[in-house]
Amino acid sequence: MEPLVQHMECFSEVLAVSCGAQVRSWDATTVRRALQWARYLLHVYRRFGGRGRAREALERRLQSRSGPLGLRSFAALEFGDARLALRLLRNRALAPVAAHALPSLLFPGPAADSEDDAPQSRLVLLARRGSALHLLLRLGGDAPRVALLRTHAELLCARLHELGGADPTAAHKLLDTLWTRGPHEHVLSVLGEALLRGLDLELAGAADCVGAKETPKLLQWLLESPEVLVAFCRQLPALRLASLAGCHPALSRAYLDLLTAWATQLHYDLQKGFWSPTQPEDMPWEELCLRLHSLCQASPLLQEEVLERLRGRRALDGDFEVPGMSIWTDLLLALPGGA
Amino acid sequence: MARDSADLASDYQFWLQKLSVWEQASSKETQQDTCLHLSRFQEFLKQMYETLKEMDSNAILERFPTIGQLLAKACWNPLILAYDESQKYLIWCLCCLMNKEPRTPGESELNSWIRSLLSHVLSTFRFNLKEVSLFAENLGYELVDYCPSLLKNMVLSLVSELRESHLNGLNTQSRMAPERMMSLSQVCVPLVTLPDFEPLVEALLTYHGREPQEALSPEFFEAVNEAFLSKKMILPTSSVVSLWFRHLPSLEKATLHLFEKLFSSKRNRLGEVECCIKESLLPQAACHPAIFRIVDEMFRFVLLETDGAPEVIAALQVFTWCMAEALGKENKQMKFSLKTYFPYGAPALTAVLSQHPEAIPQRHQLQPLLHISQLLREAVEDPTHGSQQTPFESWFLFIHFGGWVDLAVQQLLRTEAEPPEGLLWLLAFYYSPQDGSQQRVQTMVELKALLSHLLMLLRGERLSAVDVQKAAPRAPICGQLVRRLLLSLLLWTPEGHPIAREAVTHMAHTDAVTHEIVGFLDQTLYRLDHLCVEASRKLARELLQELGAQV
Repeated sequence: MEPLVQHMECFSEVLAVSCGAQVRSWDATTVRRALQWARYLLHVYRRFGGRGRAREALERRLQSRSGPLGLRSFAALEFGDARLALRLLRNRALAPVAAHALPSLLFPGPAADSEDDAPQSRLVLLARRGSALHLLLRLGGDAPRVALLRTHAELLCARLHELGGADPTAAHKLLDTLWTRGPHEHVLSVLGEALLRGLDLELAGAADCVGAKETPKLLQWLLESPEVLVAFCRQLPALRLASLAGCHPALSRAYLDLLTAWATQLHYDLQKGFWSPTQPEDMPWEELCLRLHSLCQASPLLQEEVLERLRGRRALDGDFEVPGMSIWTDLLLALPGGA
Repeated sequence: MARDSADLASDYQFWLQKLSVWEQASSKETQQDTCLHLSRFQEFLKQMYETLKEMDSNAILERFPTIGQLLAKACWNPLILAYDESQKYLIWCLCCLMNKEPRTPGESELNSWIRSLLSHVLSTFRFNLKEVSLFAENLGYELVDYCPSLLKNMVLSLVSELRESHLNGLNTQSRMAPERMMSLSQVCVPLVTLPDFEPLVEALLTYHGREPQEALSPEFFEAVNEAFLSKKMILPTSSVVSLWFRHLPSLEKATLHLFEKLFSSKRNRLGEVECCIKESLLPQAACHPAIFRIVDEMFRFVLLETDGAPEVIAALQVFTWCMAEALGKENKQMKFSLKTYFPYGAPALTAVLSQHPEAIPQRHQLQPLLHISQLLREAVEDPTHGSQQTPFESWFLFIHFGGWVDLAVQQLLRTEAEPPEGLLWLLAFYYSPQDGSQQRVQTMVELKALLSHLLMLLRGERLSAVDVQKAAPRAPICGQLVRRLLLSLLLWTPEGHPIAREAVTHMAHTDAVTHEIVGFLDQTLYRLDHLCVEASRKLARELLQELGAQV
């Protein structure tokens, strides 16, 4: 195992420096050797790819030693050659003698056509798939956005999965970083998609899949990050939140807390005859109703929770039945089963 | 060689011009034009590569000074990059252009430029929303990592868009507008052979919109058909049938492709013929009468062209049999009346013919045979009765159903008494449909005489090969019919078995006749395999093996 690990670490270093200035000293042999290592590691990936202690051990070694530019995870072994190739092709600093030899090393010609582990056929496939994406993107419509969201959700879950249980705070750190770098709107959408996907997988009985196991980590981070939670509950559509809340009691409680807090911001406009926001960024009445309504529709249990909460608040306000006096009364009137 | 070189030069100019036109406009028309030329352009790239790989960089630039322009324009055209192997040939051509050892700054510049073009080819996909691709980067992923899964998700997204439109059939607000479907099908043209696209292709093929006109581009159908026929793509039967239903030229091409396989110079055993036919998926598709009629027309055409070649007749019979088998497996609700498949045949006749001859017990076989004979005779010889069909039409209908002639021959060799006229007429008609009634009567007379002679031999002391050989054809009976009677005698009667080998050896005195006998034995075996009759089967197989080795 140890020689294998050493090879991995060697290649990781090579990869890390391949986009930097160090490549000035490379020649054709260096490039050839690097590509050979990549090929060897591809075989390693294929061999240990199925989950196993070996894979996890390799994963841990990589996580501990590799920097951001090297091999980030075991999964990265699959595309080592392509990654290296792209970096070298773009690197202006690559020594001329290596740069001139690079194309024919990557694309030897018809002889290498049948080799499925050589860079040639894999890079050609990448080119074809890339142009396919380009063409589909030009079509526009909803599909690109949906697809990208889903892919990012998959990537997020994959990365979280790789971090594993070794460092419990690693997941939090990663999510914090993502949030900081933003853009917030996208991060929240991806988060929602990832949570929903985890839900779907669970319901489909694929609880073992990557994605289903990551949900608890995501939820925990969400619930422990107030800023994110508020933005999450604000931005995500009512239906989506309702589905998620329906399956995660902790989330439903937090959501309900926020909704009640937002409700208290509204005051009754006597002249116009409805509950209006105090500040421009407050949640308007219609949206509040919609969200509460969606929660009630999600499950009977949730409906009970919502109604109980509202009734409790109404009691504190004086238990008025007349509209316009207490927002809780009016909300209850607007919801199914509330009157 | 010089001519090739001149051809290449003029092709080169043609393609350079085309590429310039294509890059100017990215309208629907340009896209369509590009898609039409994709396979020819790939051929050109292949030829260029073959030429360029023998030359060094400077020589290339001397001969093709604008090669950089041509390759660059191609590299910036996503439709070209997406097609089949074009991206590979482009990359190879670029590699040929590289200077192995550049000596001037100009040469180094060129290398540098080529490298950046290669880099572009490998990452044409640039996501427009920069911030959004940053997300992946923040996670530590690059395009090379998530390209496959992003493509998969794109395809899934589009498939569910299509399926929702499908389900919303009753809703006038269909989710995917016809223009969008057209554009989507156009985009798929270069990509049908990419495995990632298979679900999308399938969804497009099986989508049935509410609009009367076809929503998909014809180039799409052609591309799918080509990929299917050249086995570059595997599709479920329902998708292929849908394709042929919606695009007639594809059906015709598929049928011609099958004919080419079946009727090329090599002689195919019927077992292989059946394999080929079943693989082609045409019998399954032909359960739809509209498709059957078109394939049938094409068979008819080939028959006329080849003057009723036996291998074509045999293929038609196998085809009909496969189609009937497929029909039997299909959902009962889908049954069409026979008339829809054979509009040119009298319904009564079609009904009798389409019975399974093998399913009828031996002692009841005569009656339907005579009935068939009578109906055919009326159609052919009586000008007032069933006058819509020409003799050829009746014969064409008859030959679809191969089992009856075998049965007729067996019956004739069995009856001790007078051979029924109806059977004689049937055989005479089958082998010489174009005869006038006078000639046919003559044939029947001679046939009767031949039969009585054969039966007499059978009843006699010991049947010998010489006796059999002496039973030569008498005009106007054709040689084929005589040989068939003799061979049937040898195979089907116990007296015939011992002398079969010797007799057949005598009969097979020319290559053409040997071919004919081989064909007959093969056909018999094929039918026996479907019938599971052991005794004669063993003999037939042995004879076939021995004779087959001689040819």
